[in-house]
Amino acid sequence: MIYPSAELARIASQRRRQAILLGVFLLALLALGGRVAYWQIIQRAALTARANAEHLRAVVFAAERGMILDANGNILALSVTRDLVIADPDVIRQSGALDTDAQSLGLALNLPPGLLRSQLNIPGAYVALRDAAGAPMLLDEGQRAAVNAALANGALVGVALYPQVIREYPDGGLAAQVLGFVRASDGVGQYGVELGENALLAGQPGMLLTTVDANGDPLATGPQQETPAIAGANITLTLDATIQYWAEQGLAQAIAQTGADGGTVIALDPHTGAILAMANMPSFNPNAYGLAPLANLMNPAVSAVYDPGSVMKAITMAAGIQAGAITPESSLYDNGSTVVDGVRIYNFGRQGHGRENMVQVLQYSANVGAIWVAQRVGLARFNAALAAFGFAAKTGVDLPTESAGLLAQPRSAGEAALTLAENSFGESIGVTPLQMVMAYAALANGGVLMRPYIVASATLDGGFGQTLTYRPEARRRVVSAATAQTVTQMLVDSALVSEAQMNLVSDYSVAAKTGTSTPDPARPWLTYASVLGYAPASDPRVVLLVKLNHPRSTIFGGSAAGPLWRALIEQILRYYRVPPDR
Amino acid sequence: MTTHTLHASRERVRHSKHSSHSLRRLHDTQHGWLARFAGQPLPLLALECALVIALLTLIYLTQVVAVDAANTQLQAAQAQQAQLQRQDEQVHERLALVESPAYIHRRAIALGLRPAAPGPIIVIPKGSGQ
Repeated sequence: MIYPSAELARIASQRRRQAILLGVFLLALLALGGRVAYWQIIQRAALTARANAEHLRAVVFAAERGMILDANGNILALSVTRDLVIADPDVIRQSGALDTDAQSLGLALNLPPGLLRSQLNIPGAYVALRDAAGAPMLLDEGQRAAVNAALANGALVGVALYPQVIREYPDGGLAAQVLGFVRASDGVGQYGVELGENALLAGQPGMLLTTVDANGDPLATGPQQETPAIAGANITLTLDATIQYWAEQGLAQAIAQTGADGGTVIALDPHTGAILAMANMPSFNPNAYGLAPLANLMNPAVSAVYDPGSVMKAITMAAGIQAGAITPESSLYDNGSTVVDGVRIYNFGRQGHGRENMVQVLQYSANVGAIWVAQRVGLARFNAALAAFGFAAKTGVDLPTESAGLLAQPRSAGEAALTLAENSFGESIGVTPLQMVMAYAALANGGVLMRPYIVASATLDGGFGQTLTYRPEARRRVVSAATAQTVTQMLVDSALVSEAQMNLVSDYSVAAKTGTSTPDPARPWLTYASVLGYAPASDPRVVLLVKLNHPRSTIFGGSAAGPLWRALIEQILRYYRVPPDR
Repeated sequence: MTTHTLHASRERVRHSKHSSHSLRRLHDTQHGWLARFAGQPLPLLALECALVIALLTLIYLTQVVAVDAANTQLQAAQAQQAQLQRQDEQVHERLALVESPAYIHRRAIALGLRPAAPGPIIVIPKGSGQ
């Protein structure tokens, strides 16, 4: 076919226009490509974040809190799920179901329908039902099953169950001040082991990053990224629930018998520093901690400071023997009083004992004899001995709110001499019960002071992970083994014939000392009455302190605290199947 | 006819052949399969379409049902897990209660038991044969 030239010209013109059009399209395509690249590459991160914010949700879920167990694996604290009954009063009113709901719930919960009706009829769209005492109603299994059945039958409108995790202490108040409690509002441990080991017990919360629908509900089929929660560790204590129970029961009985305001019992293994029991009265029930006075939440065994009284005389003797200032046979003439810095200091009852050796000083609990020893040791060496035994410093126990105790700060040589004299028989010095126990534990442990501890081990991940075991830790040698042995024998000899009446303990030799301090000279009848010692003296297994605050029927350590001390030491040694040594 | 004219004529002829070949190929491409498809009777065509749609619907529904079933299973498993967790908690709680010294003491008293007076300790040396 032959095209005429006009046709060729027209074709050429068309091709030019096509080329121009192609150019325009290419430019447009380039612009579009550039725009796409801008959004897809340059703005990618920002757009992804915005998109994720719309269709992804991070759901944080708490980790299960670990249990607290005693040395034998008995559960002392655990977390359980309970249901609250919640309701929407608006829906109930609109449905006209107020009376039927109240009736059905009353039947299921065994409560008067009137009480429930008034709660279901409050203004608003949310109510959590409370019991007759006004506490949030946490259902037991029977109530839960009954409410679930009513819900399944359609007998309840606008009502639902809402699960809530609570901390439970099955033994009630057993070792409450040691354990502490968990604050319901945020699940954080307060006081005691719950506070001290909160990081381990709480575990690590998990997170679910999930795709949600338009209503914000997770899509099971959408992409999900889950970081599982790591359950809290199960903490095993050195505490023995049986000994703790005996200690608490015995203490409550002794308080009732003597009319004391309160008291403390501590039992400890002197070779390791492991705390076997730590009981205090008054105490509280961690299941209802909100009802307890604030003062009862503290653990006085580690945080309350008191004048120990004559139990300190064993430490004075140890300082004297270690310094070479005395031997058990050293003697003095005791006429019942002595003068220090112009102040006359008396024996208890102002009684003189004539010539007495060091064992008799312990036996009579003679203040004059103790002052004589301290003066021979000298101020510097005596204060060094107090520091070595751990006074005026924290013991390092793994319990919170520990106090370091108090030492007097004399402002003159005269005051220093008076302080030395008073410290020798346990006055003008503030110690915690645990500090005093540790000082005796050092004597029982051949002169080596251990760090007291109550957490024996922690098994991570709810008891299924790695187990961290805490080893006993020796802090320092306080006195030589020979000194410790000598003081132990002095305590054994004196306790047999003193007001401690350790001759009444059958089968075991006991190294113990009584203490009666009168911190308020204006009210000398208000005493701290205590017995502190260890047994069997030949190979001590337990150091035991029984201390009563302000006993009324009898104010002395031996008569007020002695009976409980003797009963407990026998029970504990038999419980541990310790062979008799006497 | 000059050489130049002859060459121009051959060029036009070649161009013309090429154009007709391209048109035919385009015609075949655009109308070949369509013509064959369009040539079928209408009921058969409708049946084929319905079959294709049904197949697609079946595939879609199968997936939806599978997803729903998986969701149901997942929910049931989660509910079972929650239930088992509750049971585990209850067992621990019950265990804690019955092992509690206070509970044992109360039960023992309720059963009429009383603490025995501690008897003498008898130590049997190792190897004594008793």
